[in-house]
Amino acid sequence: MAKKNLTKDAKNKLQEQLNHKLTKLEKRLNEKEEALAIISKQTAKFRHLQKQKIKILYQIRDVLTTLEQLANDSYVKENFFKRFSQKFNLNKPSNLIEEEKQILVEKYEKRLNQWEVKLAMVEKKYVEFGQKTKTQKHPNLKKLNRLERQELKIKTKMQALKIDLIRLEDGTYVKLNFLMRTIKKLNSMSFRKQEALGGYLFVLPWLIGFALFFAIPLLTTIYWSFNDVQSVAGGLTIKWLGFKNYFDLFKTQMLGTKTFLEVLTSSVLEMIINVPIIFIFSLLVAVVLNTKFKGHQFFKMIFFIPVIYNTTVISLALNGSFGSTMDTTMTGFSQMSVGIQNFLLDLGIGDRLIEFLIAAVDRIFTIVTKSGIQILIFIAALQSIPKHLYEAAKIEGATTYDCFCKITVPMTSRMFLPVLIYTIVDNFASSELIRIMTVDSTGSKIPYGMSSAIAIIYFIVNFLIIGILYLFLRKAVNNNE
Amino acid sequence: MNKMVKLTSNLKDTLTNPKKRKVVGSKLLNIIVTIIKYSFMIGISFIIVYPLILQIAVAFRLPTDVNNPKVMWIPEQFSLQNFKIAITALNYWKALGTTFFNSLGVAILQVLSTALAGYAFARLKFKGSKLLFFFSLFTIIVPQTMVSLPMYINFARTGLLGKKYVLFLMAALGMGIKSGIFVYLFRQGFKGLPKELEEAAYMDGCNVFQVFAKVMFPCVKSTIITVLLLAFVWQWNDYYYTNLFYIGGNPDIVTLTTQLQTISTGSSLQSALMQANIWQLMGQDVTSNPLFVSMILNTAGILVMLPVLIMYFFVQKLFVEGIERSGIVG
Repeated sequence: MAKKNLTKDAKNKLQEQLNHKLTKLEKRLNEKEEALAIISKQTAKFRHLQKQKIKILYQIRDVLTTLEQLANDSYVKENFFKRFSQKFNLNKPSNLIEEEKQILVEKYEKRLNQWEVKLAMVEKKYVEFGQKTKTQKHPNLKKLNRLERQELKIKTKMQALKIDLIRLEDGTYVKLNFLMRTIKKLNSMSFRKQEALGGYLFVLPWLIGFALFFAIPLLTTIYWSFNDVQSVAGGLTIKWLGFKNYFDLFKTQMLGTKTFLEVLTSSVLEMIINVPIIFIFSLLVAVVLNTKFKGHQFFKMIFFIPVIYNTTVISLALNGSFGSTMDTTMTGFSQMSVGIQNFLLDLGIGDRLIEFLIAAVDRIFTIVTKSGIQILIFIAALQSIPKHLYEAAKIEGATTYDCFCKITVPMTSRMFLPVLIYTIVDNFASSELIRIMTVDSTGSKIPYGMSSAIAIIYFIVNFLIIGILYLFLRKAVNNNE
Repeated sequence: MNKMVKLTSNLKDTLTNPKKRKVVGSKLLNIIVTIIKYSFMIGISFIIVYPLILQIAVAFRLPTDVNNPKVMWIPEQFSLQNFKIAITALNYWKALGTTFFNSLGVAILQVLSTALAGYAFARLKFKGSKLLFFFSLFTIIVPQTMVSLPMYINFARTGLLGKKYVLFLMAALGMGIKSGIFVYLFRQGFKGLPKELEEAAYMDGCNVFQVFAKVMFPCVKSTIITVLLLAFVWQWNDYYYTNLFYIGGNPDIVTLTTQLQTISTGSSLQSALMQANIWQLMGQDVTSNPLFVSMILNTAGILVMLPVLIMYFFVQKLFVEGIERSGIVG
């Protein structure tokens, strides 16, 4: 340690400060002692005051030592981090004041006595129970074991206390602050307990969020769907209706120009068409992108643009009252599809087929923009297939088609369900019905209760589709594994 | 003559010899497959890039050139006037600052909260972990619109609505935008790591928290990058959450998406430009054209996405690699 000699002025100044502090501390100490003298022992306040008093005593000791050092010219100024690290040193014996030592000894001895009483009780029980079991045909060994373990626990605790007492006398006792004590406790825990505790603590933030921002609102929505909810200044009025909201939805309620049933069926149909196309398309693209060909990096870059590019907000903005004129020229696909229509008519293909093809072409854009994440998941899954499988198959004489059907598809099949679920949910979130619901619930055209009912019906339909898919795919995936 | 004979004999040889025939056939097939592959990729890329290029091409036109039939792709005169107008209409710099700050904070908090939950679900055994994981999957399936309305009312009651930390609070508690997916991603990432890694750390005397912080968390770097980027971009693009909870009816707070949405509805763009004295400057013949407004909107759309696009071009390699190595294995 390099000694840093202080100038005389600074030294004097410091001494003055310390002396001032000392007088202050002594004054406070006197106050505390007076207060302690009045209060009877065994109360919480007494212990609290005692702690404060000990703290003050420590401070006085620190001040006195520094003053001594200053007088000896051995004073070294330590920076913050050094002081901080000294506080958390596990091995350095802490230099305790006599007063605290006494208190600790008292405390530990008292505890020791308590444990001894308990130990005697347990031992007595153990002996009694042991004698009982001798006469029994089927002795309760579990209880015996438990008692034994209890005894052992108490003994270890007593041993630790005894060691602490010895150390206190020796002056090798290490005082730990709260943080260090918890860490020590954690390290001495059994592995399984530690794991469980860690698990609960790790999940805790998510769990709080789940309860506050998901479970409670969801239950509220379900409750509201059976009620007539009106927003009034300063709150909500809720009136029980039973299933009326649901009946009204299917009978009378109009959403824009269509009935609810029409909107529901159209969006479900849309989903049923879109989901398989997106699924197959993204698998195909992922397979192609996963092979190494010239420019695959470039294509990858382009294919992930839809993931980051905000098509919904921009198309919404452009679909507004002003943007609609520009929109057709913007996307340009209406022109494209008209061109294709004429071309197909020239070829002499039937009207029905053309309509279907046109719809497909119009759909390409939405499909491409919606399949970014799916491609991403599939590529990750493809990357995890070991290469030697393909090599072995090639040696055995498998064609590329065979490889795809018998290696690629089974090996990625475990990602089918997550991808499908994500696709369905994504479609659901951007469907027409949800748009109607959100617009009207914030603009409050449809009453809250009704919109809650819409959400729940829609969710049930969605959940059913996912459930059916799960039942089908679980079998397929299980067979492959 | 001699050559012809040789060629025909060669051809005969290849056609009759089954081995040679197979080799030639596979070569031909390869060529056809590559042609199909490239045309497919180029076609799809075109579909993705076409609107983007069109948007950019339109944005650089002079406002007076909106209806010019001669201008299809490359404008006659390059001008940044559209951008200038859109910047004032969007209140761009202020909105950019808040959006960037929000997105970054939310992304970091999402990573922390979802990584903790994902690690617990992947590796730590505790009672009820399977049920809780099922709940986290359930949050993916249930659309946000189903819970947002009661949440809005609860926020309004407790006075959290329109506070600056609402989005951060939700992200820190693992309920930000699509947090369920991130929990799932982290779970898979941690499951993909070898068990020996953890065991070695435990043997050396680490406790659970140290194992997570010092060993396991740094090992899923690729998942962290993926989640960070996705969370950032989704927060950036989000309109619904931000408008509902963050803005909460307070017109002083502006973010990019909400600003874009407000100027796209009704005559708010006109009034915004009137305030900045731009509308009056442009002249009757330009402003009376409905295409002028949509051109400005289009430019505003580009401006909203531009920072993310630029960022993407810088980090796309990292992003793609991160996804490939994230080892999403069932």
